[in-house]
Amino acid sequence: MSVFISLWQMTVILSAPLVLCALGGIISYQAGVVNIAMEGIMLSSCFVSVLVSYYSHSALLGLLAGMLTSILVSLFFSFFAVTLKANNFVIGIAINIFVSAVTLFLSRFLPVAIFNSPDIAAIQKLNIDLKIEVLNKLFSGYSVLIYLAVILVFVIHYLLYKTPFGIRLRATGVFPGAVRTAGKNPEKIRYLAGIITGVLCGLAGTQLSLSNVVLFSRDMTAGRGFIAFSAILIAGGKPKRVFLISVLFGFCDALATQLKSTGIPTNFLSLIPYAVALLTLILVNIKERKTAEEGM
Amino acid sequence: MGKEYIQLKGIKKTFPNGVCALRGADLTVHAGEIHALVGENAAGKSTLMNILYGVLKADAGEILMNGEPVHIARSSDAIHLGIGMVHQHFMLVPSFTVLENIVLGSEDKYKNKFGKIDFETARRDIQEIMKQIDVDLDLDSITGSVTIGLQSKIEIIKALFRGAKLLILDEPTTVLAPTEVDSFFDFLRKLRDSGTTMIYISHRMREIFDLTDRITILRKGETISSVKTKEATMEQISRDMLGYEVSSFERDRKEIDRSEGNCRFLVENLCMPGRRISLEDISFQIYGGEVLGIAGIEGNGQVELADALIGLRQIQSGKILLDGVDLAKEDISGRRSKKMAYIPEDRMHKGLAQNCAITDNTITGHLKEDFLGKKKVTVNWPKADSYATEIAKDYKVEGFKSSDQLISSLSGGNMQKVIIGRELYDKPAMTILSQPTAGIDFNAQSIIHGKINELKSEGCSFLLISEDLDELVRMSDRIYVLCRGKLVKEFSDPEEFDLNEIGYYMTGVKKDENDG
Amino acid sequence: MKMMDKLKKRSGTINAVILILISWSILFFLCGENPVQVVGYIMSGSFKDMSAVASVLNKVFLFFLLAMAYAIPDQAGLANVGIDGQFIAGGFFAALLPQFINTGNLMINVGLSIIIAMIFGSLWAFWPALLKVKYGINEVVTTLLGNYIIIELTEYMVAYPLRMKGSSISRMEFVPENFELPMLFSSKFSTSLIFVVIVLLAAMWYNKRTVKGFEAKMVGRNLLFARQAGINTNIVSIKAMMAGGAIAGLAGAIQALYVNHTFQSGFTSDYGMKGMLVALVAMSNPLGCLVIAILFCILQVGAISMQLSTDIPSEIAAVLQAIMIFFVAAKSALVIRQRRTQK
Repeated sequence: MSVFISLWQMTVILSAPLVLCALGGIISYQAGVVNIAMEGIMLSSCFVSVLVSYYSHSALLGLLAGMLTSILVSLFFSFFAVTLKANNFVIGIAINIFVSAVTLFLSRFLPVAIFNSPDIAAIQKLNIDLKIEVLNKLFSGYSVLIYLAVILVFVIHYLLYKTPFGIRLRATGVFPGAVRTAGKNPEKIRYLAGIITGVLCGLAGTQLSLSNVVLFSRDMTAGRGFIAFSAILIAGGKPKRVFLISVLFGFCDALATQLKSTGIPTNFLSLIPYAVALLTLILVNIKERKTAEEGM
Repeated sequence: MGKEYIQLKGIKKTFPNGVCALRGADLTVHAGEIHALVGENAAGKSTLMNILYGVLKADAGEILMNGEPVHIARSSDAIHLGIGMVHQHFMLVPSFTVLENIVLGSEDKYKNKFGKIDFETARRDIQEIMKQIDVDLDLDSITGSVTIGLQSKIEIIKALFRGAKLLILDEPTTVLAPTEVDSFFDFLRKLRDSGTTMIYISHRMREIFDLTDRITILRKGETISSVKTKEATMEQISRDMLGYEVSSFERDRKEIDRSEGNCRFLVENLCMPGRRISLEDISFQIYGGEVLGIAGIEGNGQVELADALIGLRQIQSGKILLDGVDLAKEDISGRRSKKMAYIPEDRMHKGLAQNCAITDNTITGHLKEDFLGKKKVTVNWPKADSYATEIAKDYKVEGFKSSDQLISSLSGGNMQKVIIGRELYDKPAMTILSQPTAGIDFNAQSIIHGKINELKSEGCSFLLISEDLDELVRMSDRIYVLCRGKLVKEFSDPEEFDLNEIGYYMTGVKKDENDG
Repeated sequence: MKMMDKLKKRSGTINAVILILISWSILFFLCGENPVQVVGYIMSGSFKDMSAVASVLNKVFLFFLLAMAYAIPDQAGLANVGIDGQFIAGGFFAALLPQFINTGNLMINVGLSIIIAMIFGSLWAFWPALLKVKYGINEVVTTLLGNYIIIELTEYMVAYPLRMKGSSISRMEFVPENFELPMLFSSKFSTSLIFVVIVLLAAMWYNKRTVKGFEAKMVGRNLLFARQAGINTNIVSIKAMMAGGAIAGLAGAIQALYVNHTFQSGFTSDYGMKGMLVALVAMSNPLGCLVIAILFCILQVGAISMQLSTDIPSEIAAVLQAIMIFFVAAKSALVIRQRRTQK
């Protein structure tokens, strides 16, 4: 039973950054911008959150600084992708490498002790008393951002499908010409989408470096941006689906961590999330192709 | 008619790729009239209207509304001034419902307290408009599944919903069959009577004289003349449009040898199921020296047919025989090697590589021993360049300086000349032409049609798929009508090509009695 | 007309180069150093004597070959981000081979290793290409996830089953001496340079002169156009990816046989990504890839000696390299716009 509970808890904690990041990515995706720079955007937030939290002893300031950094990196990406119309994949990967290089460089240039220090303020946890012991263990005691993530699933859904902005965003992703002749500016919409992506990836990064663990290490995002991207592709950009798939990937990660103590080599376990993401992506695509072909 | 409502004065526009579209065009539209803006393809009509609607910015000139100068920098400015535009290619999101498409762009006016779109009020307002102009649409159907004729009505309602008093219609009848045009014109007259002013872009004489009150003619980016329709004649308008007298086209009256021995291309019971449209039981023959025309409204299987014949799509069953050889199992390069040529309907995305040199575009798929090196492994570039130059000179390509230059530096008509030049160079046994002169100026059209006639006399056969009925009637020796993926009627005598008859079959109003 | 066009193209590059140098100087400044001095340290580190020059040139194979591994598929329209995985596949099997076969002859041994490496490199590039061509699955995502997978798999292999006995780090048995890549005529320069030259000349010839190279280029420029012309775009795409994978595998073999003398944990340190950067800066042009690769090596080697003389960590080399990519990406986007406006 306790195994089940700790597996559940691990899943929640490990899914959170994926959920946040993927939700952010959906907005860009629906606007027609392939944002493969989420890895770098998240990592920049991880770094800055830790740095600011260390010096200010405030997790909130760390969070805000992280979000601000993410927004800036995301705007940087948008400038190249939307205005200059450069190849999104190339720019995205370049940004990822750039952020990785800069954060690594700065983490050695600045005093190394900062990034692993006990003085870093972590994100507050929320304790809700649900009266029943088991329920408390399952649903209480998580970081504030994790509860926020769940709420955001519904917020993003509402934003996309019920608001004027959402309808314009989705139209921009399918047929920017229709938006332009309707008197709105698709480029502006894409920039706004980029900002929202930045905000959410910033939250994801802070959750990683100020809650899941409380430190900064080289490339700590470890490909989560790409896993989130796969989740978006598999879910076809729909918020509720993306939530479920991100949780699935988080579960694989949690399973791998749990199994560490059983003596199975860690490498195999670390494999699992990536392999599951890859296989799911492939299978879903093959099925979609088959149904499309049958319709032919 | 009313007073002067919209005036465009001295509008100039040159595109970044160097093509000069407008050299100082003028237009004066009076309130409450239907004003025709006329000119051949590439005369500048769409460009001028896109400037009025804020999609493009003019390099020089001014726009006046009711005598006051106005500044239109983007479409929202135009919309605020009460200008609406229905583009030739519809600006509708296929996956949205009709309601969502109409509301797109106006959502801000229908927001409730929580930022949610109030679809109910919007729905009521749209229904009001529809009642006023006597139209009924299912607002909840998915736009992509609605017929093209209805989609044009959706576009108009969209403009009215945004409060348009001036409606710009860019060649709205290209997607309609001849028989649907009449009811569409009745609809437009009702609009005019309820107070909407319209600018009607077209190059179709009959329609202009049938519908409009005044005509302005553009030629090569300049305004040539402006007259009341009542006082104009077709010859005068035609002359102003083209700049010279056009002699009536003399059809090549040579009799086609339709004996079995001269049958070059045979298609039998071709079937190809598809998601949007399925080809069913397509059968026809083309004889040496014959042009077989395929008439039909866009979206009835033309693209699918052309793709199936060249091999871009796999057919399910049927025979495709060229000079006796069954091509159904061959891939594209196999069919091309048996002397089949293909001119795709989408020249920009299928017919060429825009950011490549003219040489590259002419040799792709047409590698010849002349410019291949030893054992066909290497390319002899100087020889390839001279091959490309030869084609450019033969087709009088304008703007051609060297075969190194990017093909996108040429205008649409000249790009198409290069494409047709490379496809017809080897005098192919069978050529599929899909919308070969769409959007192309008259000069380029004549050159292309001339080449086709040249090759006809040498025994080459052609399949001409075109939405331009004038072109079909002029060029074809026989015409089939393609409707919903089936060939529904054959017109075998050029003397009896009747546009209305063809139109009835195109829309499915009439069906062949022999349909089995 | 040709000269003017070439100058026009170069002027964009010159602008980009100037902007890059300015950004670098600002960066050095922010680190509290004099930019001119820093450049001096970097240069002296690379050029002070024959050993230094050799150490720069002996690294070129890595950046150049991995750049070509990206460039060749790129020309055909595919983004081969799986270079790291193909590099690992090549290095792994090249280092593994001696445990099964040893002919006793150095040339044959090395030759076999390289061939095996190239085969496995191209195999690891084959499956993402197949998925893209058959099911339209984006190759960037599949290759990236694939990278993580193959890294973990090989890490496991050298941590347990294939681990060299008594070694504290996870690595395979050392490659025997008659499998090591020899030096060039007993000089300080490695025979890896021969492979660099071969790949360079082959790629240049392929691109500019051959029919297949031309067709691959057209597939990259407009897939639909190439397909309706009769080109078998699926085969062209798959072959291009496999060629890229083979070259990455070749780089892996050289790395294993010459630099590490084995395959060990942490075999790749994002070299693939760096190779990709080189290709992007050079816009997938083979000669350009060589020039930029040499530049990157100078930065890499020079940064170490710079670290000795200043407080700047050598990791800055990566930052310098990454700055280049942005200006180049911006420039190439503007070039594409310029091309469209050309008369």
